[in-house]
Amino acid sequence: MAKNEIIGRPFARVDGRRKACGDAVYGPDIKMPGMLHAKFLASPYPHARIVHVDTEKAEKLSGVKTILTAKDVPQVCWGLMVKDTPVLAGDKARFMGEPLAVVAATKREIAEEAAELIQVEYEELKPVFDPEEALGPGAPLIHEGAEAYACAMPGLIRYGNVCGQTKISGGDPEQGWRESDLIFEDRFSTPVQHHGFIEPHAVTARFDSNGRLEIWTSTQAIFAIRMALGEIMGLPLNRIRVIGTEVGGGFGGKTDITVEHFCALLARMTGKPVKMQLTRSEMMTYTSARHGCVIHLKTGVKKDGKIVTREARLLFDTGGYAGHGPGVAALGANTILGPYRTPHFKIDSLSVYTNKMNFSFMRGPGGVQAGFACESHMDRIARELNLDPLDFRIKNLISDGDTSATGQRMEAVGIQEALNSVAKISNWKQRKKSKNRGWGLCCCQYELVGMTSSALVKLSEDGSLHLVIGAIDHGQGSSTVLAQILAQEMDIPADQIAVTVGDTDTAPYDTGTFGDRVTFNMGNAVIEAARDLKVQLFSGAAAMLESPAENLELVGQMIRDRDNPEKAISLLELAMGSYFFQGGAPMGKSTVLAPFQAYAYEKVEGNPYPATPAHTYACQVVEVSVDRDTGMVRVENIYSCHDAGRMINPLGTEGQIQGGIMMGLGYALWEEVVFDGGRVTNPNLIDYKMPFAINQPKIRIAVTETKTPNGPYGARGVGNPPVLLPAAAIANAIHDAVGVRIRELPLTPERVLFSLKREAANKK
Amino acid sequence: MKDMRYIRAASVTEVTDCLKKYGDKAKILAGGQSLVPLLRQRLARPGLLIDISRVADLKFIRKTKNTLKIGALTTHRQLETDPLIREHLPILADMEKQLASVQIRNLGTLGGNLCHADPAGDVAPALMALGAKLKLISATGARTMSVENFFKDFFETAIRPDEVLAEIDIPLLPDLGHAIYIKHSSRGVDTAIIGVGTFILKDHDTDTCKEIRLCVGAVGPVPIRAKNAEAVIRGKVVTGKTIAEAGKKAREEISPVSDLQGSAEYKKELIEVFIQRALKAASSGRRK
Amino acid sequence: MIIESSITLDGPVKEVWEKLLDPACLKNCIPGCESVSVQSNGEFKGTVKVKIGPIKARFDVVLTIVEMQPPVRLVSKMQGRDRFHTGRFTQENQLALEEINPDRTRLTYTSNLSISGKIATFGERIFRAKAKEMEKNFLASLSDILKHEERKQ
Ligand SMILES: Cc1cc2nc3c(=O)[nH]c(=O)nc-3n(C[C@H](O)[C@H](O)[C@H](O)COP(=O)(O)OP(=O)(O)OC[C@H]3O[C@@H](n4cnc5c(N)ncnc54)[C@H](O)[C@@H]3O)c2cc1C
Repeated sequence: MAKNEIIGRPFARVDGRRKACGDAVYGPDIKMPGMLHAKFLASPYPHARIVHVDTEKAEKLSGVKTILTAKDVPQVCWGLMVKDTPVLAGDKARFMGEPLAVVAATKREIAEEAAELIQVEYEELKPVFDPEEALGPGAPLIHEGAEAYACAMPGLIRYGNVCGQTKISGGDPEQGWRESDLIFEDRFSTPVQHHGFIEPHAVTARFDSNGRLEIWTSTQAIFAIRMALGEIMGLPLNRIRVIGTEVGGGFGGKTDITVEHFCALLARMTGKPVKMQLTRSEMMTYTSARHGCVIHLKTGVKKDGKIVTREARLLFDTGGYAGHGPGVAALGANTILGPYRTPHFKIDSLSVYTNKMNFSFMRGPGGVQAGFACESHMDRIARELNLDPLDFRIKNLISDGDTSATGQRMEAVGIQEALNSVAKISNWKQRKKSKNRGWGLCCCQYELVGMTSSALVKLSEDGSLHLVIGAIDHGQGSSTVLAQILAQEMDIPADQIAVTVGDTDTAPYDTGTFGDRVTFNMGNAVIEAARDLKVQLFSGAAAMLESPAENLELVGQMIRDRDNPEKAISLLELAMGSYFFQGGAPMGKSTVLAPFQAYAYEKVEGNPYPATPAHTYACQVVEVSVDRDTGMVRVENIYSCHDAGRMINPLGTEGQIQGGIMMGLGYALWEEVVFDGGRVTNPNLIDYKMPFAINQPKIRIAVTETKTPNGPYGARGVGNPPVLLPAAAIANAIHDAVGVRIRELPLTPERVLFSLKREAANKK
Repeated sequence: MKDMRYIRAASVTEVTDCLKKYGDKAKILAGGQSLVPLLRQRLARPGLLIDISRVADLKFIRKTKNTLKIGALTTHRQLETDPLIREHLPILADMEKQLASVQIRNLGTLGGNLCHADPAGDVAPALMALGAKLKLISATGARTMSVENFFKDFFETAIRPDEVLAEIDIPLLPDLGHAIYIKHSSRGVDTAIIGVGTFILKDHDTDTCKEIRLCVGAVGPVPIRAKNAEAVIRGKVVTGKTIAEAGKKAREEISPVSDLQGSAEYKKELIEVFIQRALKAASSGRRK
Repeated sequence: MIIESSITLDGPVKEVWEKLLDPACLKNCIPGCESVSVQSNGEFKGTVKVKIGPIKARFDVVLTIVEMQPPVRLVSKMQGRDRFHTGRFTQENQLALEEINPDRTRLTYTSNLSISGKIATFGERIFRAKAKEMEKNFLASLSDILKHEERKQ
């Protein structure tokens, strides 16, 4: 087989044309006859007992079909980790924006007006907004009786306002402190970041006359949605059909149910299709944004720059409900040492309830916060030891055969090569230092998610191939990559392959699109399914060609005998033969549970996730200029190097990296969901500032390929690391430029200016 | 929005007649860039929407002997690209380049921007620096008012409910007169954290400053003139020293309010920096 | 959002205290206030109209006294709800009076204002500034009334 013809070649997206031409159907595009529109009533208080709800006035409004409050909905608590979330807040509201009631009406405006007419009597409770305060004695308890909650994930450590805690330790930290020549301590804090997808959450649900639920939703994980719905609706999963629409951006914010259950319940109640589409301000006050985090780091080093020991404490503010918080805290714990050899360490990472909205997954969860802290801290140590930040890192880099904090034996460690490569493209060693300009460096090591993927490859009657999967392509280009992989395996031009992302009825199971897992794990599933199909084809062809199956090969859409090439049959002929005379319709299938080395659980406590099957690596150099009078930071150049294991589609790889860097740039410089008490003060895209196209600096990208043993052709994901890098790289560059270290994001002009002023005052 | 009526006016008279009849129950709709979001949120609930976007009489840019006259319906984009503006009042084209995005500039109008009276608006400080006048028309007649007197409070102007803003009348720059607008915003084209419109006229023989206006936006409920800073410069040769002093004075005389773009303390710092920058640029004769 | 300020007023502590609890005086001092009355349970009820350009809201306001130490300390809580459902606010106030001399009193004031609803999501930038402005005007009017009071005596 002519290997490597398709893998590694730039390939245009399979979904590009339909998106560019406007015929892709997104969540908000779904319309149905007789469809009702839904709205929810949000709690106006961050922490309040709900004394009485009166819907009478609202129900009288013409056009209102039904109103559900906590007493009208299933009395179940759901949750991805901790089952702590009621369908609608009943006894008390735990954040401002929490749904208390849902209305279905003939028009969206009517539903909205009705929601406003619902009279609720509240009794305000003392709120807590700061995760550090929430841990203190006498802090209001956000979930009374939390001990009684069931957990979806085993082994969670929970108490008080803590809903998850990961503890990792290794070596002997006490001995480490004694052996250290110098000790550095820092405190970092990071803001809440909104995903900023263009397409809002939009869901349409209906029940058919057999009582089967069908639901259209813009989601990254159809099967996860189905499972949560099954639990809430009390339906067996085979009576629920979740149809993923095209997704206009997910970034982790569409992995869990948001309003799917509301639509389903209202549809069941009214017998009509019900649609709910969130506004930007609802998304920004109700759905899962990136956790804000406070991180304490303490590191002991030798004078020569060898790291000896580190103590880390991470506090993830997870808001009113746990969401993925316990898992995000675990990812933070796993990332906080960075790709550096650390003989002794003690890591404590907590997910803490506060009276804010529920934070959950966003691209690079846990790692983005930990990455900023770890890499800023590393930079500070290098400076104070008078070492070049690059040399300091190289001195401490891990390599193959080292053990991770979690006790995994590291393989295919790509950071060394990536670092060399970024130093080369940025000309690090010869970098010019001019006034008020500076250079910053940053590395990352992150984890990807494995779990289960399955694929179905069908040979049609005409010999064409059809790949059916349940992994949503939310814009990151997975369907394109999977077409390439199938094309490679079947030796067929990739544009002749059709990829269908099916729904939960038609597609085989997949865990979901997140954690850099689709190319990695579904890629393997596609390879397996192709191989399964080939076995069937070869066995059919063996009979028709009267050659032993082991002798057969698939080349250029022909199956032929290796020893006797004129004995050949085309896929078309073979398909016809199979369908009508021999064996039936050929159909390759596979299911792959990603292999992984278990964590060393004697060192790791409370981590709710299965161990990662592979790590990801990247590093970045940034050049900035700083206006000393205004504090304005301009990012002049970004050089970024990413280890892809094996690049499958260079176009898609670069797209992912560019997009991720812009998201990281926004996080570094502008983006922050601002809270005043429990209230979001900027829930719109004018006041919440994401980068514009004009804010994109020059970005140079290099890709290295350190083949990952478990990945398809050695590939690993590249989606998350780009977001982990810019914040620390820019903060480090600012320090290089003007000598101030800022430990709090975003790096706004105001923060920079006042840091400069403080620095000047201290010098005096 | 169910109780709201909508009419599309064809002429200024039709607009003023409607306003006379409905008074403050009616709201004028121009480019809709500021009003429509408020309507959608039902924060504004007018009984009648008078769409003036087709009133041809309000769309023009004309040069007279001493002034440029600009119709209130002129869009930001027209102002940015018009050859007459570029030739005679390049400050306005420069200002527009820093205002929102092209999409918004294509629709938003000068009149709408002024009447919306966002305290962080860019148009007002620039026009104030130029000494522009506004022509307001009602069914009973017309009156003119300087831009400086037009703004009353956050989003409040001196316009009466029965009036429409028809025209902006801007004196042409005298020889040796320079006007510039500079702005600071976090992403380059954002709502201003601070905006400064500056006009300086120097004496031909002595090089002293004959006339000066320093107009600062986004630091209070309305754009403010930094009069004490002006006094430092007026009648003197502009030097590094006077510029520094003017910056200090401006910082003392203005007490900014915090908003989401920046805290009062930060704005205070910026007032000094931007007054200095504005003076430097305007007095060096550069128009930008 | 925290609003803090301090002002020196004409008049003895006791008189300032009385003014602060006098519905008629409150009505005159609170910008946009249309009515104030004292309920039998000691709560103050009133309506306040707030207009910011095209945005208009009319709040039904209830003020509850939480703690009172006449004539030097008053802790109160104010809750308002807009009749057009554009939003609501809660304000916790702590007010202290201190005698400077028998004719002059220092009023120190801290209040924690939180706004919710559409009015807050949309108009944060404006409301923050407007609230400070209203508070400034309130104190100015109060100061004014007290000045006049003195002249009469
Ligand atoms: C995303 C975004 C970013 C922006 N950034 C900036 C910025 O950086 N700087 C800046 O200065 N502005 C900015 N703006 C505002 C922009 O300039 C608008 O164009 C302008 O405020 C409104 O113009 P309009 O024609 O759309 O007015 P409309 O929205 O139609 O009307 C606005 C108000 O003015 C009244 N009105 C309109 N025309 C008249 C008239 N002729 N007579 C009497 N009353 C009238 C209306 O009744 C209404 O109250 C931004 C707007 C948006 C949406």
